[in-house]
Amino acid sequence: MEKAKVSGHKSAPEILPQAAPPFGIRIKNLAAACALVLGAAFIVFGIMRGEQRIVLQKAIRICLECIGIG
Amino acid sequence: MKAYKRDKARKKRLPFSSRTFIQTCASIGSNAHIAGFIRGDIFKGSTKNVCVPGLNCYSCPGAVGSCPVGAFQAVAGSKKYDFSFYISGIAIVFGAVFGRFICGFLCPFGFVQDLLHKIKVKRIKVAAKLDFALRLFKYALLAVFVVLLPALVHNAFGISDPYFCKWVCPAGIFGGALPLIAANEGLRSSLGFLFGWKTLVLGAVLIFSLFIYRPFCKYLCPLGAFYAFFNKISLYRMSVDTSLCTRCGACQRECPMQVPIIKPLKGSAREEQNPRFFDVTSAECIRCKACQKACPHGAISFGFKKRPEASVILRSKPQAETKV
Repeated sequence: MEKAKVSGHKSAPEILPQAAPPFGIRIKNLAAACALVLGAAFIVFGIMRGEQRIVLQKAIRICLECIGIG
Repeated sequence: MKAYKRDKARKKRLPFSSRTFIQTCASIGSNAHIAGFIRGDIFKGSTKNVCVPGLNCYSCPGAVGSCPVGAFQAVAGSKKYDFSFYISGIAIVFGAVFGRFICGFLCPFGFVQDLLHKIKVKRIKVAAKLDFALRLFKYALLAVFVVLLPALVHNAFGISDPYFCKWVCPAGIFGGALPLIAANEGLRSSLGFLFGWKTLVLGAVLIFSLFIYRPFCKYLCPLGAFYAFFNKISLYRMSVDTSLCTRCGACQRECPMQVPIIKPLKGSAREEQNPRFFDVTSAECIRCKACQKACPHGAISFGFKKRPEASVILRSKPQAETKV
């Protein structure tokens, strides 16, 4: 455990040495990296399926449902 | 602490907050096709292949990118596919990097609600239980209206409606319909029941925005619900310097999203045995930084950090000069 000196501020709290964070920082970083890899894989797979063409076809026409007409 | 002092110094120089500036830039950037507002038509460039991070209807005359929610439904509702890996992937990447910082800083419709909430009127405090139940509603909308219905309910041609966009989304009326019908007479003659219903939804959201902070983001937005899953792991993080925090509670009192930042740990009754920890990864936090501004000790910071001092458990009774 890294030694850290807590300042003598009147109401500075004591940090419990045995206390583990509810969601470990390493797990967080690992999860974020996994999410990025998963996201990138999804994007590539989606492009391979040609999904971006459907998105473009929809987006360059006025979506009548979206604007409350269709 | 440095960021805290820098922000305080900047506040003295600028007549508006840096957050308002970023929100303005993001809103203009998402709707940079100004000619569309004049002509009453929408942008048809290839940048619409890609989604913007916030909720911004692609039928807005100025939109230069696609709306993630609308684009997902377009693919999931198509004849060929029931799920969009492409849009999910883009949203996952946005979420993993920024979390709900996107809601707080980059979403144009969130910015509209922020501006309305600046108007000084008597605020409404929603009862805690009702507030909790209503917040769950956005997850239901994401699951049912955005994912399940477009995938499962098809017409005779195998195509599905974009149910959320069609029946709920007020951003489509605000950013899309109103500018389009103002400049396009052909569209004006086609208005009917659906337009009336969606205008009612938009009106309700805008009116409630005066009294409640971001009602759409809290209770209805499926995109916010999706990004909420990533708040726990996103690379953009909130952190609390536990050596500076005095647990005065100013952060919680000022939080417009009513996020309980300092939480008691479960399973202990007495005060001595009831250490508290900072929950800096709440799904409801939109990273608006109101807590950072409110903190008199500069203990709260935001950014891309490898080791935030957050989520550290604190004992209730403070002690001076403690070695850990």
